[in-house]
Amino acid sequence: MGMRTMKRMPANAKIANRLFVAAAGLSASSPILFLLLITGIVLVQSIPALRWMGWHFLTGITWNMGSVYGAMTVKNGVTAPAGASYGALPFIVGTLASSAIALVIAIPISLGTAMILAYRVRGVVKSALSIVVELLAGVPSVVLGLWGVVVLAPWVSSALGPFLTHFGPAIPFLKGPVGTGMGLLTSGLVLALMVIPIITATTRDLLERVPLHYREGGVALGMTNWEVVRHICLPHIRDGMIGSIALGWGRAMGETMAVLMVSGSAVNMLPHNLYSPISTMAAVIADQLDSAMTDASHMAVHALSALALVLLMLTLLTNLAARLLVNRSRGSRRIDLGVRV
Amino acid sequence: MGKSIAVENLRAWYGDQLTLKGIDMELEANRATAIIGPSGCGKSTFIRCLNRLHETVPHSRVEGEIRLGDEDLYRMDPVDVRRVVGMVFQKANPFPMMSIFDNVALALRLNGIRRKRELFERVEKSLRMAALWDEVKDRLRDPATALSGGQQQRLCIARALAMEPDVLLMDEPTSALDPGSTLRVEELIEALKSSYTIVIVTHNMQQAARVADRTAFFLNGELIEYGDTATLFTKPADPRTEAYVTGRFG
Amino acid sequence: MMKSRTAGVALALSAVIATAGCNAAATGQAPGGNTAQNAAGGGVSQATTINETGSSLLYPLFNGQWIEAYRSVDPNVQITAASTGSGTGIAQAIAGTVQIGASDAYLSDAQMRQNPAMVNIPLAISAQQVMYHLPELKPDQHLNLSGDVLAKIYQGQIRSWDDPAIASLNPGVQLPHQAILPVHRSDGSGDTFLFTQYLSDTSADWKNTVGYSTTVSWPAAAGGIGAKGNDGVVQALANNPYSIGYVGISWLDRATQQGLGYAALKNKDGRFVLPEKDNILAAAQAGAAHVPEDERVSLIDEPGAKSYPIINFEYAIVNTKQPSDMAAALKKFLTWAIDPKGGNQDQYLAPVHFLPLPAPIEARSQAQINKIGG
Repeated sequence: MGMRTMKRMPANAKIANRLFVAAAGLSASSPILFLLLITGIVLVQSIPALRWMGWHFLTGITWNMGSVYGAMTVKNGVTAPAGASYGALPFIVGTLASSAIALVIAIPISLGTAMILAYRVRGVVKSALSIVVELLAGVPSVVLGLWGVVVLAPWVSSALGPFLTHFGPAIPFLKGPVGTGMGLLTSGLVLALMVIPIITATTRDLLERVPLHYREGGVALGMTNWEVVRHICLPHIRDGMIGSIALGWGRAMGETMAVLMVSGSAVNMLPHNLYSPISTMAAVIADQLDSAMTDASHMAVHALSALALVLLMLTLLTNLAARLLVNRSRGSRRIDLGVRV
Repeated sequence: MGKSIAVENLRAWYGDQLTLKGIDMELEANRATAIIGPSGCGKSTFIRCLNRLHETVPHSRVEGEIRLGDEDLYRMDPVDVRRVVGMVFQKANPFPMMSIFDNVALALRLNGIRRKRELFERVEKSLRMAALWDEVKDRLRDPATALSGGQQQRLCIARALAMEPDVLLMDEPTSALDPGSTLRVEELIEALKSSYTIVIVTHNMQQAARVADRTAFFLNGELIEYGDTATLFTKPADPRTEAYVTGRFG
Repeated sequence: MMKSRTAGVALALSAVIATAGCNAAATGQAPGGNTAQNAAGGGVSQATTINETGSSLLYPLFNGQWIEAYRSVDPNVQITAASTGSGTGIAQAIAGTVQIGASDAYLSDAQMRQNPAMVNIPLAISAQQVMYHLPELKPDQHLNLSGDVLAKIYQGQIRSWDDPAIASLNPGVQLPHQAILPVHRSDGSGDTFLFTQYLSDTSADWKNTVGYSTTVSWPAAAGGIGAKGNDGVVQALANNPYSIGYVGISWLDRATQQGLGYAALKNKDGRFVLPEKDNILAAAQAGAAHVPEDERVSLIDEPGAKSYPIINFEYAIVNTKQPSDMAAALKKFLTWAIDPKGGNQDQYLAPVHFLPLPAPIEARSQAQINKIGG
């Protein structure tokens, strides 16, 4: 009996181990708990606004908190200020359009920069350029926004916009008027600046990890640098790049301050050309939350919650889609490849 | 048809280190020339100068003159050089994200061959020349990585041949292969050398003796001796060559 | 119950923005940063901390002037101030996380019904000017504008500077044939509240279609843009010739330095008046006559030949239900703040272009302050 007790694990070691397992489990599950908690709160808070609007929340273009200082009305069993209408389509379109423009600009620039960083420059030039890219990632968005307002928007209005309107006959969305420079294009440009460091850094690391003997195989076949990157390196890093683009996209959709400063904060209208004022979901939430809190029916806050819900869903979907794309491309490689002439 | 290569006072550096100390050498057209020598003697650097791959390495430098036929290699665009001087590496490096077919077809496409029929003919011809056709003709769409090591190396040879080069450089092409695969590659070299100028770097002196018409012995970045393979192995002129081929060092 | 939920939503929304963008954008909306430590304050220490948050217009008065000055009045009381926006100030005062919610606008009837213990105490008088960027005009030249014309501009019905409606208000002025670019505040703001109140009071059409609030649903037909904060509006006006916008009075000097002009606005008596001290005071005096007991009133478009039409009270939103020592500290501070020999002295108000409360208003405010704690 005595021997058996001696061999047993001491009671405090057992407790310590249990505590450790519990703490580790809690830590490991905290991201998902946090995500669920946020989604839960946002979802619950959205319900009254979604009841008020129905599907028109996604398709309506009128965003009006109603007469907060006036009378309340009841519709679909929920109370809101008279005249309240929460049509989020302009903000959804603004978010998608500005982030898409950002990606269209950022992907080639990031790829080119990453290519240069990974393969073309060495030593001091390489570290200097890398530092510049990393510094760009560290610029606070409010600073980029300020630069966007003071420098970029006037330039878009006076130079870039008028230049792009020359392509108007071919691409109607590029037709004028150019306006103030506060709008879709400037938002996309500012967002591109924020997304470029994200995609560049990842792509550079991925390119550096492409085995040298594959690249030399291409070079020895008489491929140009670009052909090697295009046909050998890019297929090699495709999965990782899709991931980094999704990350950049999420960032672009969720970015608030800089967009809010340069978007022109359009309400009640869809963009009619590349220079139209827009607004994004994140910017509207930040812009209007303060006013929303003066709505005694709380419907304005519920409406902003519903915007947050849509934003959250879009961001999650982006990441999910990227993941699926990556998995699918892995699973179906055999079918993908083959004679492509 | 192959072309001859004339090398004059070729010197190459990695950073500050001089790895080729002035090589003068004539490589005959439509012959297989073996480069032998101990590790670090500069033989790999030498053939990497012949397709201007050496200069792609950071901090490298090349001086001297190389003529391919009557053209100065170092006055040509390096991309053009590599289209007439093909190369096969020590480690088989088929493009892993591509099918067997695409591995051979890619370079052809980049050279503007777009017509499906012509592309297919050229790929088949290259795979036949690399003695791989019969083994892969039913699974051209499979990923190249599904092939065995020896097959992958022959695929790389087919890929190089598809460009219809004048010269084929081979950097220890069988050192990672089993004896059976090695034999097949050697047979292939034998068959190819009548129409290509082949330069093969090898650690394996028996291989040099089997496949090469001429052999060069490199030591410490210098060309010690160069001549008919039979002569070099049986009656070396230089005592250092003799020491190496009789296995006393290296 | 409802209030703490609202605060929770603010937190959750901030979190969504942050997680969605992998980016902690500082929206400055998250409450809890200055949780009151002293709600149940007892006998341990005499020191009391009063927390203020809200209006960005009142913030420089609190942070730059009053906090420092009040230290010598009552060293036992510490005051903290934060610039978070009027709506946040109201919400946090209701939720009890701060004692003073600073606001450019008073609580709505609906909010008062839900929170009958709240009081709206005017602390000072502010005003707003309508500004424009017209390179053709001389610096000392002021356009005459009316609420009706401004409403039509912001509704997209008047689109050009040389429109007859503007020209008839400005005889002899050469107006350019250029499209008007209306600029509005994109963020919730007391300035929007005042401006849209002026438009609602002077244009029935505006009142019926847009109305007034700290954020309104701007008519898209005008083709204007939104800008964040007074600084954003000034920048947008400076960047874009032929633009027009509304700016808080404390920004007047900075805006005119950028080459912006400001309008003489048509008042109730049909006169065009500038936002000058005498005209603002005249309006405040006129408004004092009809300020109700709870002081929730618009001072827009007051009668009188000199009265400037866009002025307002800057409010302290306070919950009257406070523990006794906090109630005492609050009463003492607020009484000092509205005292013409205390916080309402010109030396504190002038730097932010505010004006002191007229005597009748001070008395009304005092009556409301006295309700605190009892």
